[in-house]
Amino acid sequence: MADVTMPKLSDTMEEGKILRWLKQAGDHVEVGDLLVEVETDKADMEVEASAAGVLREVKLGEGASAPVGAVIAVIEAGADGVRNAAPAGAGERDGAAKAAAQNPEAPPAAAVRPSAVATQTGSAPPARSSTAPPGAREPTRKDVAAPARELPPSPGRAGLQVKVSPLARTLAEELGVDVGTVRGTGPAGRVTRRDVEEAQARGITSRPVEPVEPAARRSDGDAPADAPGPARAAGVRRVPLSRMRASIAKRMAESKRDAPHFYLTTVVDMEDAVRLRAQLKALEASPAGVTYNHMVVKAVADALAGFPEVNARFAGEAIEILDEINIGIATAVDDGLIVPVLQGANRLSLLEVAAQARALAEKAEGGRFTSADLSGASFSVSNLGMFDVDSFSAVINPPQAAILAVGSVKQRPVVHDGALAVAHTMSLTLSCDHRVIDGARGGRFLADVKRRLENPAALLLGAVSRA
Amino acid sequence: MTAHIDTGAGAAGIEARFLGRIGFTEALALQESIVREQGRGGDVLLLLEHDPVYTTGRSGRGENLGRLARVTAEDGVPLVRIGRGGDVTYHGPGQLVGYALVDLRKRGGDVHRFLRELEAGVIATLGALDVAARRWPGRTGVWVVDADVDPTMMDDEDMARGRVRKIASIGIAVRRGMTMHGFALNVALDLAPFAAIVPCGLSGVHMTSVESETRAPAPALEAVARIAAQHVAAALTRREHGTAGPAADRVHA
Repeated sequence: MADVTMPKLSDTMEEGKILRWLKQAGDHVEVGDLLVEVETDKADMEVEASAAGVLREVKLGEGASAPVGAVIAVIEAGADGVRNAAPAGAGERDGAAKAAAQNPEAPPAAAVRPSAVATQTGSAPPARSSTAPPGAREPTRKDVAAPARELPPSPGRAGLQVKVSPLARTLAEELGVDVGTVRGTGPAGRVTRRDVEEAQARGITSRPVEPVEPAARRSDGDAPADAPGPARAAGVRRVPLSRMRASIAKRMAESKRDAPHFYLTTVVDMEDAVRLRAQLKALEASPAGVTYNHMVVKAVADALAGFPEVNARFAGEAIEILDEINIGIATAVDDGLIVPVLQGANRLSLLEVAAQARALAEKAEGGRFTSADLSGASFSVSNLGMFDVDSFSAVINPPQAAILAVGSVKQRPVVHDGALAVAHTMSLTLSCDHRVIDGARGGRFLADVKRRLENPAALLLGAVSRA
Repeated sequence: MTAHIDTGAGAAGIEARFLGRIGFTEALALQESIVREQGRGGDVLLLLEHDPVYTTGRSGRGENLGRLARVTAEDGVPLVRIGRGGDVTYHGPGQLVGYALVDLRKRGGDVHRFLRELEAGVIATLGALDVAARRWPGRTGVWVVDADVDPTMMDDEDMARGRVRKIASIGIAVRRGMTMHGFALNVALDLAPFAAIVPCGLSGVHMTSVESETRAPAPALEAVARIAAQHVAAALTRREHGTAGPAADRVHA
């Protein structure tokens, strides 16, 4: 038998009042289980069991008070013997980790996370970039956060499945339209019935049945729907560069030539973020919804507030640290890839980030984008998760010092406490300009972003300062 | 509305954030999510004001609630029952609410001491607003006392006659070692809704506010939040030195 006594929750506590028994007589209790809520002064504290067994008797009812040390209940040890760990006060502290481990809602602070930060200084760019045929521009576009407003027609997403609604597919077959050439305007670029009808009206019909050489497809896909008519010569179609493509080509080449990139990858446990997003959805806190990318942007902005050296640029003779945290968000939208810039993102709450990012995206889709909307980013986030990309490395958008590449959120096998489990995870790959950021600093910054995403409630709050 | 607040409390300190006006249940859900994270996101001081709301803990008494039911029906001010100790109280615009979500285990775990530190932070905040306020031993909260009352001899009669007035209420809960709730400081609050209830179960208590005491417009709530962030964070950070044993001796030597 182990007596449970009124715990001393403060040096100045003389008596306490039982607010609520969290276990009833007859319940089995483990060390660290929440046993009772005690009120002392204006504080209401949960008290954990310091002995295991069966709660035999509750001696002090709810609403009643007793002095510190008085017996308030009795726990009878189970068959495994008395495990009277410590006096009540100490047990409450020592048992916390164990209690947390037993409560699925409160994972233990020391829980094993899916992955640590991995450093790959000077690692090769992703396979798709390095294996792309010379002259093929598409892989570069996929890797960068550059302002490429015009997402190519679906072949541009070479190797990725084109999403087509069943109705659209049937109609496409009837009309002889190759859905692979149709620019989808539905959610996540999905090809809808209307897209197929419009494509047919514009005269885009089926390609020959025989396989098409991939590079040609890609090149084909680069032509925006409204681009000037391409010139054709001996199996090659020349597509003149739009101003934007020319700008991307110049800037990305400059970035890879001048900025020594290195890449850091980490895997984020997104279980809490998934739950938070579902809660926000249920609350209808944000009419248009908060995406994982909005959470990433907010986490990055908050983290940058504590890492000014990352919110910086290389300026030849000096490193310039920027006061304003302006996040460029390279995100695929219905018909393109845009990079709206959220000015002062650290001063916005998550819901504000979501609202403003959407407003900018809508503005872009309406073609009302001004250069101010695209400029002034101090850091960029590029997300290809919606294309089921697990992870990738992005090319830094000069003169910024870093860019974060975000993969898909999905359930993957993870190891928790030595056991195989399934959890929602997401990879983050930080590309850093080594002239500005060293590996350790980049690693600490990435770990801070990860910590914020794994503890996402704080993202709902507004501006942060850790003074 | 949100704002950046610099607590000046050092890297091991507390992130203070001003959330502007936010619904009570929304803020409660937020507190609960942060507590579920067990402080892994760091200690946080949330500063905000609520839409008008009456709240009551589990020990809310019947006679208070009965009267309140009529008020809430007439004025449309909601009544929320929450899982804390304590009786009924009122929150509304013009009251600076501070929710301190900190890992008490890291700070020595003494719950009364935590209440005293919150009081100290609020008293220092009021000092910066030219309101002299003090503790009343045995009655958690922050009080303003008339000059002709001996603060060591205050009694129920002083309270009933309004010679000792309550300017800030304090109450916390501890969930898995994390503190929740905190203080509610009346800055420019309309005090009339308190008339409908017996605040904190103390009959005869007179509530007051910064504006009632100074007889002048108070600074904007966000400005008061900035002041409170500094003082409350400092008070809670001092606690760390105070519990640090030998190191604390060196600090104070």
